Amino acid sequence: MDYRIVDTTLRDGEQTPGIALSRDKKCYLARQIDELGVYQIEAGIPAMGGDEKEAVNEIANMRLNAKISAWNRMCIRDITHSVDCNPDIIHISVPISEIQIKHKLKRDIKWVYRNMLECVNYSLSMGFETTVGFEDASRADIHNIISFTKAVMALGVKRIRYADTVGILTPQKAIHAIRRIKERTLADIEIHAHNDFGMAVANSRAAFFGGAQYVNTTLDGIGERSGNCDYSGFNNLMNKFSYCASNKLITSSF
Amino acid sequence: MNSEYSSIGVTDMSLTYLFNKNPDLVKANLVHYSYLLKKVGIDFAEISINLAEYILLKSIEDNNMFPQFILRIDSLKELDVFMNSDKNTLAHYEYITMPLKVYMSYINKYLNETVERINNMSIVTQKYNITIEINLEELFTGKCNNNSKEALLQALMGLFETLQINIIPNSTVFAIKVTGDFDCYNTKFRLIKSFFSKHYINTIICPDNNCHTATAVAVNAITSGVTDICGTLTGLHQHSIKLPVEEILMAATVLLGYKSKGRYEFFQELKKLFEKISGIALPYNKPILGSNIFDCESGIHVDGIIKATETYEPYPPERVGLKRKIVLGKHSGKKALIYVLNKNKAGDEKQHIVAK
Repeated sequence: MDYRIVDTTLRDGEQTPGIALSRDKKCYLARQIDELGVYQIEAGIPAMGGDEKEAVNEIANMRLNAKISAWNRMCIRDITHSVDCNPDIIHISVPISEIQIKHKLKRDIKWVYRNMLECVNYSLSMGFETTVGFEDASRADIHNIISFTKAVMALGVKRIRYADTVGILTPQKAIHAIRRIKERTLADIEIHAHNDFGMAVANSRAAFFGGAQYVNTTLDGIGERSGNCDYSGFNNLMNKFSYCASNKLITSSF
Repeated sequence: MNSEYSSIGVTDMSLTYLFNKNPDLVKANLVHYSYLLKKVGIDFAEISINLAEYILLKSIEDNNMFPQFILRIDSLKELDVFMNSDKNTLAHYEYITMPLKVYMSYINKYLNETVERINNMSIVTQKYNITIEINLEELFTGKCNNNSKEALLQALMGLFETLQINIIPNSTVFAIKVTGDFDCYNTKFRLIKSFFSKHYINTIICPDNNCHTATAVAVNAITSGVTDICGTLTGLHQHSIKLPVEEILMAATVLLGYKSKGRYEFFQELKKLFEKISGIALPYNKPILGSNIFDCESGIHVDGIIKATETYEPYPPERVGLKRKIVLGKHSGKKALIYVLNKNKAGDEKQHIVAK
C-alpha cells in the first residue's frame, strides 16, 4: 500500500504562533509544496475571511496537481466561506473527545452528532468531496469514532481524519486504534499527529501500518506547540524502511 | 542499572558531548549541571576520562545530589590512559562503559600484560561494572535479517561467545548497551532483554534519533520490559543524534503512567545551562524544552484554553518550568483579544469595542 501526503503547512503549520503568511506567500508555498508531489494541500481556513479566504480561493484556482482542501469548524456559516473558494475538498473538523465537547463546546455528544450530520449533508449537497476530521480522537472513546465514521460514510464521506490533537499517542496505541477503526468501518483514514513528545513521525508511520493511507505533514514539522509530523522526516523514515511514495525528499533546514 | 526508587533507569551522555564542545565551560559549571541532571531524574551520567580526573579533583562528596557517574572509554587511546593510570586515580568509579571494539582490545591487552604490570593497574584492584556498547549493525554484521527472531538469537549467541565475559578479576560485565537506528515495530526488545538476563547482564537501549523515532523506540522498549534507557539531553551528541532524555522522562510519566522521576520544572534551567556551555540555541518548538511550546495564537485553541487548559495542552506548562502565553496575530479571534486586554487591565470601553 502506498501512502499519500496531505500537507497542512498552510493551515496547521501556519497556526504556529508568530507565523503569518500573506496571500502571495501562501500561493508561492502552495506551488512549492505541489512540486514535492503531495496528494493534497490543506490551503487554509476560508472562514477567517480577508487575505486568508482570498489565498485559499487563489490556490484552489491555480490548477495544481495536488487536490486543494479548505478546513472548517463544524459550522454551516464557516462552510459557506469554503464553498465560495471552490476547493476540491471541504474538510470539517468535529471535536469528539469528552474534554473538547464538555469544556470547549459546552455541549453533549448528541449535539455534536446532529450538528456533524447537518454540516456534512450541507457540504455534500453543494457537490463537494467532504472529509471529516475527528479532533482530539486520541483522547476520545473509540466507539464514538467508529459510530460517527459509519454515520458520515452512510451520507457519502469516504475519508476520516484521526487527529492526535495534543500529541499523546504512542506507536502501539496508534496502530491499535487505526486498525480497529479500519476493520470496523473500512473507511479511508488520515493520521494527523502532533509532536509534543517527539513521536509525531513514528506515530504517523505506525498509523500507516494500522491502515491509515493518508498522512498529514508540514514542512519542517511546524505547527501548534511542538509542531506536526515533519514532511522530510516522515518520508526519510518511510524510504529507509522501504515504503515509497511519489513525494520528493527534501532536506530539513533544522 | 535500575535505580531503587523508580522502575526506569535513565543514563545521560550530554556531559561527554559538552566536554568535547567546551571543556573549560563544562568544568566551570560541572557541579551545577550535574546537580540539575539529578534534579530532573537522571540516574547515571557518562563522563570522559579527562573529565573524570577533574571530578575527582572537585571531590564531589554528596553522591545523593548528583547522578552516579560512569566512566566512558571511547577509544583505544583512552583505553591506554585508563590502563596506565595510577590505580588510585580512578578508584571512585564503580561503572565504566566502552564500545565493543574497545572492550575487545581491553581483553587482549589484559591477556598480554605481565603479571607484575597488571598488579600495578587499577583494573585488578578496583571492582568495575563494565557496560559494553554494541551497535545494531555490529550485532548483525550485515548478514542477518533482524526481522527474524532466529537470526536475532543467533546473532546474540555469537556476540556472547566473543565477549569472554568476566575474564578480568573483580570486573563484571554488568550491562550490554545496544545503540543504533532501531525499527521500533520489528525489533524484539523482549527477546534481547531475556537473552542477557539469563546471563545476569542488564540490557540498556540507546536509540539513535536520525529517523525521528528514538522516543518511540524507547517507549516500545519500556513497554516490552526494558528498564534501562540511555540518551542525551536535547538529543545532540558527537557521534549521531540520540534519544532526547527529556522526551522519554516525560513520556514515561505522562503517557505510560510511571511515577515522576524528578522535578521536571528544572528542565528550563538545565536547558539554559546546556545552551550556555554548547553555544547552541535550541529550536523554539523543541518538545519539552522549547521556550515557545505553550504559546498559543489561533482563535480556536485560545478559546479552548481559556475555557479549560487541558483542551489543547498535553500537560500543564508549569510542569516543565514554562508558562502559557496567549499571542496575538493573524489567527487570533475576538476572545483572544478580549483576554489579552483583560490581562493588561484595559478599560471596559476598549473591551466593549472589541466585543462589538
